[in-house]
Amino acid sequence: MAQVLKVNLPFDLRTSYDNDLFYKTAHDEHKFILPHCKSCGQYFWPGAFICQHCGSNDVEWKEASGHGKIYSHVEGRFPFHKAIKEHLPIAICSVTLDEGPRVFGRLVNYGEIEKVPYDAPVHVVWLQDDEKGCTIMGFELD
Amino acid sequence: MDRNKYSIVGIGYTPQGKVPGRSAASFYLEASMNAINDAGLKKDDIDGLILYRDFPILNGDAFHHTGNVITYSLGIRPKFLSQEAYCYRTNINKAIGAIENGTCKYVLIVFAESGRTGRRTWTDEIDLFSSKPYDEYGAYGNISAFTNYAMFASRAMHEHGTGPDLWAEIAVAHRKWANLNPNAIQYSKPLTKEDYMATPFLSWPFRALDATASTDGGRAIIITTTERARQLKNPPIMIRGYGSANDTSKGWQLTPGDPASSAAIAGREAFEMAGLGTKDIGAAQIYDCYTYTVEATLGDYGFFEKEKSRDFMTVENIGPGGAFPVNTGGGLLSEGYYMGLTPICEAVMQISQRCGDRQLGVIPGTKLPEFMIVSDNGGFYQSNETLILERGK
Ligand SMILES: [Zn+2]
Repeated sequence: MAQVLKVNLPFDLRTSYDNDLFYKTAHDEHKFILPHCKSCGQYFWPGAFICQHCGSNDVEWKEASGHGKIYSHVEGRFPFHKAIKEHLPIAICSVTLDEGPRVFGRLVNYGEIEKVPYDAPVHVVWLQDDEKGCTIMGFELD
Repeated sequence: MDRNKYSIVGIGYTPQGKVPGRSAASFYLEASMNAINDAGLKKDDIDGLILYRDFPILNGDAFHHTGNVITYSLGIRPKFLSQEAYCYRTNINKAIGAIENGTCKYVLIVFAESGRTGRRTWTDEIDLFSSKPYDEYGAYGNISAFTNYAMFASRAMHEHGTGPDLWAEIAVAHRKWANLNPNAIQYSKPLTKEDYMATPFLSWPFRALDATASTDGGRAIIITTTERARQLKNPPIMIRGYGSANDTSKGWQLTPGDPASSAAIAGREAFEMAGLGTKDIGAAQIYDCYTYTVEATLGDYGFFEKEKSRDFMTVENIGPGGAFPVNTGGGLLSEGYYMGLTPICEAVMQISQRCGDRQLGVIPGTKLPEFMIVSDNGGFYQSNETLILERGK
């Protein structure tokens, strides 16, 4: 099971569309699930009523590895909004999961941003905010 | 759409930069009337009005009333009225569609803002929703376009060998153009690569100088048929090629060099309609919300191989006096931020030879291009309209 770090997030988590279950499962069970298409066998993210690859509505949530490769990363150092000032610097990454979809997360325990290698293997770490009652994806180099 | 069937016949500018005491609505009206006068039309001739993605001109106007307010104050009754609440770039498509289907004769497209002194354009939108930004990414700390474009550019460093030293060239080339343009916000502010490199990263690998900034002011254009344009006072600026596309990736998912990017697809369509190739294009006006956007767009259009952007994106090549002039008014980066109307209006200005010290063909070693390519992109590089313009008689 993925590690859980207690954090304070800058904003409430506003989930929408049909991806709520991803965050609810992350928060309640610390489980990493992905939308999966039973018709074409491919994964996608975020969750939706139909598969973005083939259009089938025969879709399910399936437990996934939480492993992938870092695609890109940045380190925010400027408070574009006053609410994030105390949280800086914030490193953010996109990760191509082993199952296929490219997802989004906070990069944690990374040292110097300039030296983080592209395409390096990473795994999910849950970032849990007890006060706000929500959990988001973090990623850490393997 | 047929080649050269539609033309741009008028453009409207306003005072810009820091213009205290003026509402966004006032810039909408001034830019619109200036375009109408520039075309030699009467305001009642305008039967189509299209507003760019607006930032509500009244704080907290969740219903985005701008189109109604502007129409009322202009005292016109357009048959076709449209206003985007988001960044999809469909304005040229809608304007031409409304003429093509017989609804309209003269369509005015306008954007205005009081983003410099009036308010903080984008962060106001977050505040509207209290502590809940408009999507889940706010909780992650990603609340700015800046972060998404930085993510795109960061991957391109790995993929194509670009980076801050190349983006410095782009920033400086734009500034040198702006230094020749008295209307540009950065007209009297020179910039060197050393200045650029000495500034801090706001979101690594981007600095403030990689981004455009909000401004006060407005900009407008008018589109009609080339046939009608020939009866008006300005030489028609003909739309020889047009393309549009919408990539459904999320901003942070963008893949640098994707052959199916919106810019790549819209560019191919525009070249095909125009019957031209990259070698025929004499200059470019590229939507430059960020430095890297210019590199990505020109690369996706096929002006250079992505790994060789370093040879192309130099101050010497794209700046004043260079072989391939880009964003000759200073662009969104250094002239002023009017979404896609900054590049379109500069193209019209150049082709109709109204550019003074920065006029191509007047600057030694340059010539007036026969064909100019113009891009407009929205969202985070996800939505693109591309034009190839030609001077008509
Ligand atoms: Zn499927």
